[in-house]
Amino acid sequence: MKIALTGNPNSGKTTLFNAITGKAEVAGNWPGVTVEKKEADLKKKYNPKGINVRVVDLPGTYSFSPYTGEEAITRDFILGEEPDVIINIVDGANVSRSLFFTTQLLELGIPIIIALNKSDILSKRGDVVDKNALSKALNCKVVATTATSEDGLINLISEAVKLGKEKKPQIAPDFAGKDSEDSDRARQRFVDGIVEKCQVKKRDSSKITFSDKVDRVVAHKWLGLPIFFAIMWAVFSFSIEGLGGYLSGYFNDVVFGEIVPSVANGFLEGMGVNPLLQALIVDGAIGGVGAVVGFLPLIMVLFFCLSLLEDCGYMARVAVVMDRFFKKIGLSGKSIIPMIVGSGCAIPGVMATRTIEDVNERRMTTILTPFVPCGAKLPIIALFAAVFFPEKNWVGPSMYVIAITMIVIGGLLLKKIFVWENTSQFIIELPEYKIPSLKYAFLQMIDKAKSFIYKATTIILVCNTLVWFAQAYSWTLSPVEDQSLSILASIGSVIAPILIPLGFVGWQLSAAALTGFIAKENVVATFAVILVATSEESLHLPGGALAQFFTPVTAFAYLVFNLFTPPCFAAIGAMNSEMGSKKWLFRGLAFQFGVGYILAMIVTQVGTLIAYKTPAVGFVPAIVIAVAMAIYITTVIRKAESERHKIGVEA
Amino acid sequence: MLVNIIAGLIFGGILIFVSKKAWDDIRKNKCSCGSSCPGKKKSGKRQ
Amino acid sequence: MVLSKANIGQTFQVKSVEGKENVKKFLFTLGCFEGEEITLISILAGNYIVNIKDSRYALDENMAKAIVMEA
Repeated sequence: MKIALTGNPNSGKTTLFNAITGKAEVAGNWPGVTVEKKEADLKKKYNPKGINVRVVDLPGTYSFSPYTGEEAITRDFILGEEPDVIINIVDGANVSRSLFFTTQLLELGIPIIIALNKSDILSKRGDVVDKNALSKALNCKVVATTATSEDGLINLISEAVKLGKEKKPQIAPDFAGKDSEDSDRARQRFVDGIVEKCQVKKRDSSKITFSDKVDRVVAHKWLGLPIFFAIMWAVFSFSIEGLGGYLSGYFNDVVFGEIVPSVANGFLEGMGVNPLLQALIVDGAIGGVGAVVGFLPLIMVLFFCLSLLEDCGYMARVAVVMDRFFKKIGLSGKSIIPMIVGSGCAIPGVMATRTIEDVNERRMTTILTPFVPCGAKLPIIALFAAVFFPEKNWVGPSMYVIAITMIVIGGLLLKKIFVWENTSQFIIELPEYKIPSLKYAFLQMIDKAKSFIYKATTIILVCNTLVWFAQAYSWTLSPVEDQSLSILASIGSVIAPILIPLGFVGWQLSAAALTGFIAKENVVATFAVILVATSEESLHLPGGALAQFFTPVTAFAYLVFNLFTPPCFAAIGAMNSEMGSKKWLFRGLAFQFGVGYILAMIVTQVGTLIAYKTPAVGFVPAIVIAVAMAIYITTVIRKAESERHKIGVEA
Repeated sequence: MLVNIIAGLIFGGILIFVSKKAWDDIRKNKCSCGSSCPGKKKSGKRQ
Repeated sequence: MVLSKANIGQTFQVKSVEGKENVKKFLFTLGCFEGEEITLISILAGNYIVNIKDSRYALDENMAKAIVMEA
């Protein structure tokens, strides 16, 4: 049996889905968090008889006339796959809006049960909804639920399963003017009539509430942006430099720095294993994975904080604050949502661009979203911050500030380079603030931790083993004493010249950056594997093994380079499918590479001049590249301007 | 010698197992960054 | 008069909604169409915070200009 969950955005579909299936999908109180259908089996608690029940969570929609892409998915899914039962989640906080969609659903003929959700909010407001009258008016069952506390869900599911077994087609309520030209209006009138009969409202919703007063501060014209930066700064410095950094430091230096390798070495030595095999296992596999897994506490602390922040309703306000600035670069407040999602992982971030209607705006957001440092880039940031800037706690959070700055500058450039007219309009629902759920944040944190470990023990482990092999053997497959004769060194040396203008000298740096395209954590893991073979010094300690390659300035540049060049392969795949065109994908990747490269170059060359009063390595080629880039960009912008002039589009 | 073969086999076994998992994820276009990441999506559906 | 010219705290009846068809339809499903009441709650960072039915929405200026109200 297939049960579909449908309803307005922010009506609590995903919260209900998580509750009845035991999953930890990201729920959010702004539209566009769920952009794809998600399926799972019913949890045992709700399925005592153990029947085969699939639950499908669909993106929220206000009606069947699609305004954005993810609403079309809902319609296509319902019309195409015909679930056995539809659970229509009606937002108790806004019954009259929800019912418009409900009446459209009722006409599909599929059995429907209504979950009158957020009953707690309803009763807190003192509003009363007459369930029986509603049920009678709509011709279907109504169950009161509170998804956040799982109230009424057992009842809801058992009724839904019963309905699915009966297989009686749904009979839609009839109303005057249903088949007329202006059926939408007749439908609204019909809904208004029902609401009038069934709902007693105590509260005048147009009165200024506490939420509105908070909004006037946090979304204030001038205060909004500083408040947003302050909050983000607090979250990231707490995670990277504060509690998260402290715990990760212990993990890296003690657990994975000393205890695990010495135990593993002792064990394998005791067994009398060949030293080469021992090195492969301890230095390659365990060392590389350990270097990444050590950052687990940091990831957990960060995502716990971010979940709390999202859950309380603040993020919709951020979209309002950013809208004004994003309009200047041809985007709108909508683009901020993919970027916030992208702070977890660029892939769902890129996919969240689907909520943007305008195709050009969507493409620009797709190109810019990977600039936001994702969870996988955190270990690189934390490692470099710990080694090169132990006393400066601004380095970690500054990456996010640079990211936002680069998004704005990048957006301006894209707007100048590509010719298009922005016609998009911005509207977003502002949910009432609520106290964030610690349980939800905890589950999100566990979910992130699990997948972080999963990733470290699969793709990272495989890459590390290969990297170890490549740094220990030559092309003739014989072990090498000198690492610089290894396979990895020869591959790295091919790319290394490209990085010289950035001040990065050494095949190790290009090899690490290269493995970073498979998964960004690999940058850390690759350094761990390469350096453990040649250096006695610890990787994670201030002035550790990495110090031989970098000055603090070039270390900062290397960080910038890894963060702003194209994301990992998986994210590039997601970009490809969202762009829907290879031409745009390549443009996007070229743009990202250009931004990362030039930015790292500027940091190295300008930074070195200022900090050390001498030009850095590759100063002359850097100037040549900078001049060439400047000429190239001005010609492209000129060309775009003349084209814009021709078709009469304003920049 | 026997110890080497056993240790090598165990390690090799683990490696093959995780490589297969990693390969499956890549092929299914699935990222490993949490259940928030959906599975393979149909591309080019919009436009 | 259009919404963008309204005073904060005032409740109005919508006279008509101008602009692109899909935007009109979208606002319609939210409950913003002729005859319905809409309240301007505040103007924040260039966006118009309004109450339509039981929910708050932020609209940008272009959208606020498209909503025409009874004087």
